[in-house]
Amino acid sequence: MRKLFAALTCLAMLLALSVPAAMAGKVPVDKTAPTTTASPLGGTFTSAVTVTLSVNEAATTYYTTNGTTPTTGSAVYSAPLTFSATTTLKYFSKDTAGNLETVKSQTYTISGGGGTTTHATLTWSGYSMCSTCHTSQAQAMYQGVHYQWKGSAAEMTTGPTTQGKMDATDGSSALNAYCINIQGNWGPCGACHAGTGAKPVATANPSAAQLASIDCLMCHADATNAPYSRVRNATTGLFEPAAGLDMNLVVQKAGQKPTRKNCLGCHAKAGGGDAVKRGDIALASGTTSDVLYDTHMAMGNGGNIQCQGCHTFTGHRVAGRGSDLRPEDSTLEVTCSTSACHPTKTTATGHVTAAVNDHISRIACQTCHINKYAKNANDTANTEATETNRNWQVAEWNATLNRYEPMPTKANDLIPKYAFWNGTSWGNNAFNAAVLDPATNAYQISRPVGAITDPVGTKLYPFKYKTANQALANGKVVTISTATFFATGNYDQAVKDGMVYMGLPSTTAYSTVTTDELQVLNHQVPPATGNVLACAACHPNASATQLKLITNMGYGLKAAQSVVCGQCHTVKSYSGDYVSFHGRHVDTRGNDCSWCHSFSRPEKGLKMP
Amino acid sequence: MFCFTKRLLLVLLSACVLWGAPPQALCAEPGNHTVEIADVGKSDELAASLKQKGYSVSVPAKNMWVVDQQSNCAVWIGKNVPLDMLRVVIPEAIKSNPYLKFFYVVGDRGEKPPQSVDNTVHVGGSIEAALVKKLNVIDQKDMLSALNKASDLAALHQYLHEKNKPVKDEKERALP
Repeated sequence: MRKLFAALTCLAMLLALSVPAAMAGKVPVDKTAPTTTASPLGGTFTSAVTVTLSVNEAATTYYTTNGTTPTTGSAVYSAPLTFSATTTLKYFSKDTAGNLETVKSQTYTISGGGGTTTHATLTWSGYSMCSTCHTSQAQAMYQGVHYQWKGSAAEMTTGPTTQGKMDATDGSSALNAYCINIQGNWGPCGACHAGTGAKPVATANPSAAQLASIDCLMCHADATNAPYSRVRNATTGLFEPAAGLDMNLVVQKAGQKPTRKNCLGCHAKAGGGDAVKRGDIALASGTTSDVLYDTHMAMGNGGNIQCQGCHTFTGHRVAGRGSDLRPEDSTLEVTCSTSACHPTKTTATGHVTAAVNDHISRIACQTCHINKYAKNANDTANTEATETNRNWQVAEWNATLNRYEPMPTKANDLIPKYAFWNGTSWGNNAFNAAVLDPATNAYQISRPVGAITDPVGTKLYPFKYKTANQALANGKVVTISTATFFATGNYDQAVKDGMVYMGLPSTTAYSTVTTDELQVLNHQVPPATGNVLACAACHPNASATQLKLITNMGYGLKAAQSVVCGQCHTVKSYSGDYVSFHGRHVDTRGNDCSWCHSFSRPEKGLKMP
Repeated sequence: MFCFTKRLLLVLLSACVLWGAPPQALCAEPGNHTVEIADVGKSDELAASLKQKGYSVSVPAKNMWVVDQQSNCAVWIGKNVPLDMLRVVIPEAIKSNPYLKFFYVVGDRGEKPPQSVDNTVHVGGSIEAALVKKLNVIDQKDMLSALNKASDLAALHQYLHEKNKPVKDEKERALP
């Protein structure tokens, strides 16, 4: 019995010893150190920054903020850390298996004012030096429309959720009536990209090298005291500072917000030359003192307002979107009426004249205050004519670029077209079915969305009107091969190559049609006195000089005069002017618009008779 | 009589040779071709100097691609511009703009420019165009040497054609 007990005991001990050994062979031993990530990464910040530490597995994170190396005796991370002064954060994590991460370090420099102080001793070491310190700003910029040339299409009623300039076959690539799109023409187009020459890569986690491909100096260089210019490297094609520049001085002075000169270096030249595309923006906007040209931006007696005075930036995202642009960079809107500028002008009593106040809810400020566009400033070279048509059927030689270009038609001092706009837009992108607008007999490239019958919020705006002669095949506007056209001037071959890009046989029949687009006008506002549109510009319809509301804008009666008037009385011939006639029905009797017209204005508190 | 026949034949032969000669040979004198100079740097001085030498010179109005000497560093050579003229214009242009580094015979990539371009040498073409065409940098000394050594216009064109053959970039080389 004793022997049996001893044997069983031995067996039990053997089993007890062998089981853990067997298990050790099956359960993996964790020998991998955890990885802790700080967000945002270190960099220069103009105000306090809150930093979050996250770890990729169950672990305890230890940190210091006094420059010493953390140990397991240091503070344990439990909540985001806020630094209001320059701080070096050192941290590591230890997982449940006891693996220790190598200590990491991030420095958060709180500059308190754009970093000019720290810039004063900088030595230029290449484009990467900006993102090394300003990492969070570079990350924000990288994701923005200025860098990606693509972004949220939340204000588009057509197309995918993300749209932009970049050539793509997924329907996100915008067409326009200028270069059509950038298919095959990244090089010259990229000359205005805020990068060092490479096409932007869409990624949520850009590498340090990708962040270093942002050219911060395009926007932040001091254009007056330390001008920056760049040239392509003849071998790599990437941009580099122009020879002869004191780049140390350039970076030392570069801690500033963009000036008009910085912005206009690209925005004034959009479309291929000064004032070509926008019609209300030209290089003159950066240098003129002519208040009649633009009272907001003019120097001297003008407001000398910088672009971001209206187009506010938040996290490198800019407020404001042209009606023809697909992406919006920020959901913030630009408004004329802020606490600093025209604070009361959009209220019911903001203007001196009561009749003008009646217009505020439905007429945008620009409509009355921009009487014409594509003006020449009186103190700059007359290069501000804007393009009104681009004819791809006629090739002109550009000696500088050694290539053919489509023939433009340009004009000055144009009267805007007008349309109701609710802030959203319709756009034709590459590969979309073309839509003919019976009103213009042209295929629509972009349109502001809105109607006279829309609720409050939709207003009448002024627009530049632009046409082009483009090819149409298989019901789609052809993304013409600009490369072929530039090299040969051969429109037919360029269209055929474009059709192949679109997946159509080159033998597909095509026709040449007129396309058109509307582009909202916001700039070139002259002083109100003597320049704002008078009533007679729009009223009465028969003699209106600027805008015929009844003929073109839907303000006509909802039915024949006998029917409309017959609702209350027989048709009467009235004496007096339009104001007194209209006032008798609206102001005196309080008749709602829809009693006579096909729209209503509920915000006016009128009623049906 | 024999001498007269011989002379007549010689005259006729000379006439035939001249009649069949390429047009550029007939237009070798300065006045029949044009120099265009981009309005950058000392373009006025270059224009004056070349005008003094009897060439037809113009400085066209600026466009957005006329930036500075570094960006406007290409010379577009019309295919009919005579060698003698290039031997004068290009060295002067290099003296005026030390950044000139692209020299290209227009049409070498298959372009079909207007006829007037064939008779024009354009100093100060955009680097953007040179990069789009994938032109190669040609050292100024090499260019000047080639100008001197070229036996005729065709030889110079051939030199430029060879020098400007596109070099495969890293990505293209990596392709199987």
